Formats: sequence, C-alpha cells, structure tokens
Amino acid sequence: MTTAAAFKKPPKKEEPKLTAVLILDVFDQRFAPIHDSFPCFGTLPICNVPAVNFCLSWLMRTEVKSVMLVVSRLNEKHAQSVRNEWKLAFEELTVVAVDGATSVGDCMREVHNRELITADFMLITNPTSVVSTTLAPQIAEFRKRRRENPDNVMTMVYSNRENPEHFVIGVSSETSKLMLYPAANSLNQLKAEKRDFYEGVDIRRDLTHTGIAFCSRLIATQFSDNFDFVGIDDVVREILSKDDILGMSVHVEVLPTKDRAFCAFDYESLILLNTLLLERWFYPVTPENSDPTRFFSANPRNCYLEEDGDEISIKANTWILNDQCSTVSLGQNATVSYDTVILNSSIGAHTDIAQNSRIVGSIIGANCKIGAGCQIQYAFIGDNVTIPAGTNIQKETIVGRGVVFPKDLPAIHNSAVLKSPINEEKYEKLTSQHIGSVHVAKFRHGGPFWRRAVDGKTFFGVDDEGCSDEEETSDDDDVDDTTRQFHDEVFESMQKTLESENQVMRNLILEINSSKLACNVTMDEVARNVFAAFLKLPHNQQLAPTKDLIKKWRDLFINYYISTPESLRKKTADQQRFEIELKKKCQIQMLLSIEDRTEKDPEFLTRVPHLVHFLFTEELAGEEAILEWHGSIDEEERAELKQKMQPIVDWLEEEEEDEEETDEEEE
Amino acid sequence: MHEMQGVLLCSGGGTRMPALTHDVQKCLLPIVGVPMFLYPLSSLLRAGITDIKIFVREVIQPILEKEVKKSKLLEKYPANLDYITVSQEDYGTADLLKNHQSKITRDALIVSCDFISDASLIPLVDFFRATNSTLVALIADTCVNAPAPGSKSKKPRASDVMGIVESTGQLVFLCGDDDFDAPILMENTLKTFPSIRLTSKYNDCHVYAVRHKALAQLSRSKHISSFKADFIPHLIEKQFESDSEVKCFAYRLPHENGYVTAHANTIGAYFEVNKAIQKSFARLMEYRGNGKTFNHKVDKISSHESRIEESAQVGKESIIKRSVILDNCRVGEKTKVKESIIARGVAIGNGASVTNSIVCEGAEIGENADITNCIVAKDQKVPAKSKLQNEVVDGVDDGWTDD
Repeated sequence: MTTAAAFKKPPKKEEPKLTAVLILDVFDQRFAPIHDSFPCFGTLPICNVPAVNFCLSWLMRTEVKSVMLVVSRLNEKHAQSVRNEWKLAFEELTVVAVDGATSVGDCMREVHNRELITADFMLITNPTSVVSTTLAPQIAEFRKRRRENPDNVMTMVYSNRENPEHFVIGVSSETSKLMLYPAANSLNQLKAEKRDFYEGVDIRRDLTHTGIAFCSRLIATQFSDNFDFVGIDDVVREILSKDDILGMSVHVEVLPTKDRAFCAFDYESLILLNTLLLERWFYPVTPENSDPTRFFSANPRNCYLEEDGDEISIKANTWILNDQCSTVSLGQNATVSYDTVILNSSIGAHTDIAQNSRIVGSIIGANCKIGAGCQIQYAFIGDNVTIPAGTNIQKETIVGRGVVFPKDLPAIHNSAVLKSPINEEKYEKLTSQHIGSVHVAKFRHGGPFWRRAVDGKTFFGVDDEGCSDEEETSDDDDVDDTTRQFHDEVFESMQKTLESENQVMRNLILEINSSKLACNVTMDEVARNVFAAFLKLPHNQQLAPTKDLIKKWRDLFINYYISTPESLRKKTADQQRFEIELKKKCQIQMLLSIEDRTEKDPEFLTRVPHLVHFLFTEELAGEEAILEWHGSIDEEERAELKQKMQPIVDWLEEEEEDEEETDEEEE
Repeated sequence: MHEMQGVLLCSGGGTRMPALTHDVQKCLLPIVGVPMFLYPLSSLLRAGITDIKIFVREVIQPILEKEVKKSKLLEKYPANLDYITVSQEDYGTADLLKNHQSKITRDALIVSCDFISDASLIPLVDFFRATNSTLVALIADTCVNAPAPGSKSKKPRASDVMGIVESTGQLVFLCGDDDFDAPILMENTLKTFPSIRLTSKYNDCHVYAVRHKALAQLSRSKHISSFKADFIPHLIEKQFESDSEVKCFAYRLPHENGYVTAHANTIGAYFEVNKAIQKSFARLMEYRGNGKTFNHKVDKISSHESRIEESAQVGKESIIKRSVILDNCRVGEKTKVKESIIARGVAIGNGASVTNSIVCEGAEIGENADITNCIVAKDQKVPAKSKLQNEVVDGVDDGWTDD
C-alpha cells in the first residue's frame, strides 16, 4: 500500500556519535631499548610533541566527542597527564588503566569487562595513527553498512601506500568486503578460491592499515570470548575463517589519495612519520598546533623551534640562515652550533650539538651531548646520551637512555646500545651482551630492531622455523602442511604439559589456540588433530592410563568437544542450536581421529570399543555423533572396526528406544 | 612495420554442443545461414591481415573453399588464404601449432572459428604492438550468452576466471571455470604485482596475438599440448621470473567497439548470437543481401528484428520477432515465431507457435503446436497440437543435458 506517508522522509534519527578507544601502549619488544626514556609509546616525542597529541588533534576534528585512553597500569600517570592537557577538547576524556596488559587484546578485554563500550566505537590500536581528514565519509559508509546488515561488524581504514611488509589482503571490488586475509606466519601469500573470482576480489599489497577501525560492540565481545587473542588481526582471522558460522563480515575502506594517513610500528616508520609531520603532509595536523601546552614557532624550510619566552640560544651564525639545515624540530633550549647539518630530524630539549656534525633522519632525545664532527644517520637516540666528538654511529642504531657512547664500539648490525643489560625474563625475545662500557641488545631470532620487515618479509621468531624443519622429517603423506604443523605443535604442547607438575589445562588450551591461529586451520581440523595428538602421546599406549588422563584433562576436552550450559546460557536460541551442531561435528572429528589411528596402529583397534564407550560415559562423545560416525565407516576397508563397534551401536540404539518408551510412559 | 599472420582454427569438434554437431563440423554450423567460420575470417580480413593460414580437417577443406568463394569476401579484402590440413591425431591447439610450426613465420593473430563478432581487431593489434607484449588475449564482458533451450538450468555460469592488473590490463591468471578445481596459492604473482583483480566477468574469446618467438619456443616444450590450459599458463608464469621479458596482456574489448561479440562454443551462446548478430549481419555478409521484407498492410505479416531469407515463404497474419528463418522454409498462416532459429527447409504448420527454440533442418512442426525452449533436431516431426517445453526432440529417449 502506498500512501502519502510512504513518501515522507522517515523522522531523522540522530545516530549516536562514535566513541574512540585509543590504546596508548604498543606491545612490541622491539621498543624495549627505549623503554627507559619513553616508557609509554603514546608520549614518545615525534617532532618534540608526544605522539598521541597528533592522534588527539585529528580526533578532535572528527565527530568523536568522547575518547577512552586505554593504558597499562604502569603508564597510568602518562595517560593522566595527556588527559589533563586535552580534556577541554572533548566532552569526555577518560583513562582506563589495565593491570598487567601485554597486548591490545588484554586492553580490549578489560574495556569489555568493565562494560565501558555501549555502542559502535572507533578503535585506534596505535597511538601514532595520524590522518589528515575528518573521516566523515568513511564513518558514514560504516553506518550505512551497519544499517543494511548488523553483521557488518567492522570497517578497517587503509591508506594508499605500498606497505613495507608486503602484507596482502583480498577485498571485494564491489562491496569492499574483506575476503582474504593472510595467515599469521605468511603475510605475503593468499589462497584464492573460485568464489573469490566470482566476487571480483582485488588482491592488494599497495595498501597499509592506518591502525583505525570502526567496530561494533561485537568486536569487543570477540576479544573477551577468546582470551588468547592478541590483536585485531586475530579477530579478523576468526571472523573470516568462521564466515559461515558467525556470519559476520569485515569491510575495508581505502582513503582517497588526497587524504593522508600513516601509523608507525617500528623505528624506520617512526623516523618517516617524524619527517612527514615536519614536512606538513598531514595539514591541518602539524607540529605547531598539535600541542595545547607548548608553543612552537614554524619557520621556513620546515624548521620548528620550541619557545618558552627565553630565546633559543644560537651560537655563532644563526643556523636558520644555514641553508643546509631543513625539516628539523628543535626542543626548548637546544643548542646547535655553526656548520652543523641537520636534515629530517628532531632534537630534544636541552640537547647540545657541537660544530661540524651531520645528523640525518634521526630522533634525538633530551639532554644529550653530541660532540663535534659526529656522523649520525638514521639513528634513534634516547635521553641523556653522550656522544663523544668524531663518533660515527652505524646506520639504523638505537641508543638507550644514559649511554656514554664508546667511540671504539665495533659495528654490530641489527642491535641496540644500552646502558644496562636487558631484562631477559621480561623480554624473552631479546638478549644482551656486555661490550666495553655498554650492553648491546639483539633479537634472539637475529632480525633487526630497526624495521619489522626485511625485503618485504616479516621476521618471525625462531620457534616457527624450528617447527617447519621438524615437519619435513615427519612428513609421510600429503596432508596439508599447515595442518601437519598444527598437529605437531599440539603434540609438543601436550608432551610439555604432561611433563610439567601441575598440568594446567588453561595454559594448554592457550597454546593450542595460538597454534591454531598461527597455522590458520579450521575448527574441524582442530577437533581432529587435538585428539589425534592426544592419542599419539606415548603415555596413552594402554587403555587404563588413557582413561585416567582423559579424566584428568577433562577441561581440555570440554573446551573443544562439548557445549557447556554456561557457554550456552549467554547465547540466543539460534546460536545455541548452532553451537550444539558445531560441537557434534567436533565429536565426529574426534571419532574420525580414532579411526585414523587404527590404520597406523593395528593393536589400537582392540581398544577402540572400550575407548568410545568410555568417551560416551564421560559425556565427551554424544550418542548422535557415535551413530553418525559408525554409519560413515567404510564397510569393506574397515570391516573389522565396523564390526567391533557394532555391539556398542546396538546397545546405544536399544537405549534410545528404551528412552523413548519411558518418555511415552511419562506422557 | 611488418604485418601479422592470421591463423584461423577450423579443426575444433564442437564438443560442448553435441546436440548440434553430430553430423556437421562446428566450423560449418550456420549462423544466420552462413557457416560460422566466415565470421572470424571476415574479422581477420577487416583487420587488414592479408596472409591467413586456415587449419582444417582434410574432408571439409573443399567445402570451406567453396563457401569462401561464395561469400565474395576476398573480392572486397584481397588476401592470401593457405589451407593446412590436419589429421585427427593432432590433439590440442598447441599441438597443431607445434606440428605445423614451419608454416607460421611471423607474429600471429590466432582466431578460433567460434569467435563471432563485428568488432574490429585493429585496436587489439595496436595494443599488442604498443605494449610489446608476448601475448594479448581478447576478453570481453559483453559476450552474448543465454541458457540453452531444452535445458532447465537458469543462468549460464561464468566461463573463465582470471586475474588482471586493473590499471594496465596485464594478465596474471587465466583458467577456464570448469578447469579450476583447487584454490591457487598467490605468492610469486603478488611479488611482481602490487594489486590484482580477480574476476569472472570476462570471457576469453579465443583470439590471441602471439609473438613468433614464443611460438617458436613451443616446439621445445614437450608437455604443452593445449593452448589455453598449458601454453598460456606457461607464458603467464614466466612473467614472474626476475628480469623476464615476457609480458601477457588482456585486451578488454571496449563496449564501443562492435555491437555483438560471442564465443559460440556452447549451444546457449550459439543460439543467442544467431539472434544478436542480425544488427550487423548485412554489413558483415554483404553477399547475402538484405533478406525478405514484408508489407504489413498487404498481408498482415509483422516481422521485427528478424531475418527471413528470400526463398522462405511466410503465411499471412504471422508474427515473427527476433528470429531467423532460413532458405526454403514454409511458415504457415497465423503462426508466431519468437526468439527462434528456423533452419533450412523447415515446415511450420498454420497457427503454430515457436518460442525461444532451435528447429533444425528438415524438421516439421504440426499445426497449432506450441513449442517453447526446445531443440527440435534434424528431420524430426512435432505432431499437431502438441505442447512442448524445455525439451530436446531428437528421437532418442534419454534426454540430453547441458553439461
């Protein structure tokens, strides 16, 4: 029926403004060497302005009126000072301190647990994210998608820039839906299926994530449902791998080329961000108007001086006239002497630079002393560092707080120079060595501190590679490599757990889940391989110990094979049905892994009926799953197995009938 | 600048349209009464190619020669045709080219006999020269296609899946939809190209411009037998090697180039192109004339967008719409023929209705019969007053399916 009312505009409903959740810390051990100088990544100075100021400066221009600064408890005071400086710019600016946060995931879980998120929000996972626009078209697009389908849970913002890691994604050219996302251990490759061709998927590595995502509340729920999720990548992989189950989709919004965006994740990109900001690429976000409490003067040739009433002292000829210097930010009372060349760098407050030095593409902290005739190119130098005259610092070096740089330090690639040794318990990926008066830290896997990706490949820890070596030796059939790797990793984790004294199931589950994410295997494969690995344990060569261990590790099996009333209670009826169906499939996979085992170990066959019966009585395998599995056993090839299982099946069926009878009687 | 050599492949068997090709070679299947192969031949001639090799089975070579002569195409576009007879053993297209390599002496424009189009190939040749590429494949997103009559399936599926660098047209993956079975792992591809579009909207029209050098190398590779399944992927892979000189491009046929383009290797496409090509038929095949026209006021026959040959008879008060009626047909009074192909010598009784169907040579359709979405095979008779839908009338009991 068409009435006049149908043509009237619907009453305009004001959409609630997005809340921004800004995570102030970066959880990467790469930044351990500068932790003493800059404990909180958000307040790390870029152009002598705390990085997060740029972020808040553009946030202020967007529709966001309420910002949540999420920070680990240790850095709470930094967050508070940021809050005090910026609270007038927003209607609401709160600090959420998280105890013992070690990942973005931890932060999100805390935020979710405190029920701070009530509606759609903007998640900024990196405090150095800078964009030059208000993001209004992108936010509108996100809202439109949410209205069309509430399951469009997330829109990630990408910028047009070839990313150094050659991280590839597949995006549908028509709907902007994210279709393909690489596995955690191979960022450079994707598997394309037929439907991707039908969808018209663009496979691109000329895009870079800006660290900004518009999310529905469900994203926060995803983090808290999966306590092993570390970053937003894990959520994306989860959503994509369970596309058919969760029915959620992630979209990608690419900023037009006229809008600039950037975010830094290693030293190389920090230096680049520093240069880009000094060159005013992100106008109106510029160094001189991004700090509400300090005054910077902007001068020709992109020179910025911090002023506090006292003039900056300039020795000899004013260096501003020295046209060899450009694109520089100088902190308060920094002194620079004649004939020094500084390009694309930031110099901290009270730092003194003697004559004839050459500084290119570096960030130098406060209160440093740099002698005459030094060569510093592409270095990151913390506070209170002394560099004696005539030192030539190796490119791409990181110098920690308070170091007196030894002139005769041998060149060591991919390292950081520190005053004190690395706390190896806290930073298990790093190691340090005492050389002369300083300590030199390196990554255990040998990769550089300076950049995350080398020649387009991201460096992964040694552990991953170790596994792949073993895998080659144990490869006996054509099973998918990743599945095999997953199986081996689970097996190893189980062995370790078995050897440990207090066999904590929670930890084992964590390990298995992280293997699952790393190898990008499906739920079915997980269910099958977890039990296969379990059966393979040397401990389980007899029936009795197996039974005991199943009882002891009950939590593990509950997690993967049955739906507990607690987990069901939270969900809607549809989801519940789904969950139950899913777990049934998992149980069938478990039984299939038993079937696989009989092939490799004929002796095992005799134990199968007992084991299956035991699983049934322990309620780990349901009646339906057992019957369905039994029906699927090949009568010719596995005749013996089928025969052996027959009595149990008969018994189950009888029982079912009995039950029905009793039901009828009750009625 | 030296000229290209044309290669016209007329040896294909037409395995995807068995219902039509059991007693006639695919290249001789009529499209609006003209053997199919004349269309690609005319495309080559119109592109200014004067040296054309035609691969053909020995038995039908004389027929081809006769048809070419009849068409008078060579009078308008003088060219040197060279027939190369092939034996049944030659298997794939690449095998053919390998075995007769000595005959091809320059860069070649290879055209399959089922490429029916009024588009000009000159821009493709220019593109081939400008990009200095090894291979250029003609792809089109406007290929006419439709569900074949007689089948129940709805929309035709995509026929090719490919990966293209959208900005340049460089080809990074090409595979027939049916041949694509396992997911492909993209790694080398992505190293070379930062952005790739995966798509299924284009059809590979089996028109390829290939460098002579690449063809010469063909003979050295033993396991290449099919052109599309082996040779093209081989060339595409070569692009990803470092310092490789090989470049494969796709020429995306612009919509303003030509009204009609079809790759008539399935019944659906064949059927549809028969109806669609009429717009430019008189221009392409001048020797056939304009066909019969009717004066509605005199005999109340209304014909729209149809081609009716001079020798066909049409009864009064008939309605003919978007159809082809070939020589010596007898169409009764008050019949309705819509969206159909009526082959030579077919008789349609008074008051019959034929919609979206193919009626093959010599068939008869009884009075007041109603046929929709059917194929009536050669010399079959449809009884009067019968009503058929989605069927293949071929005198054999078991139904024929699309796949």
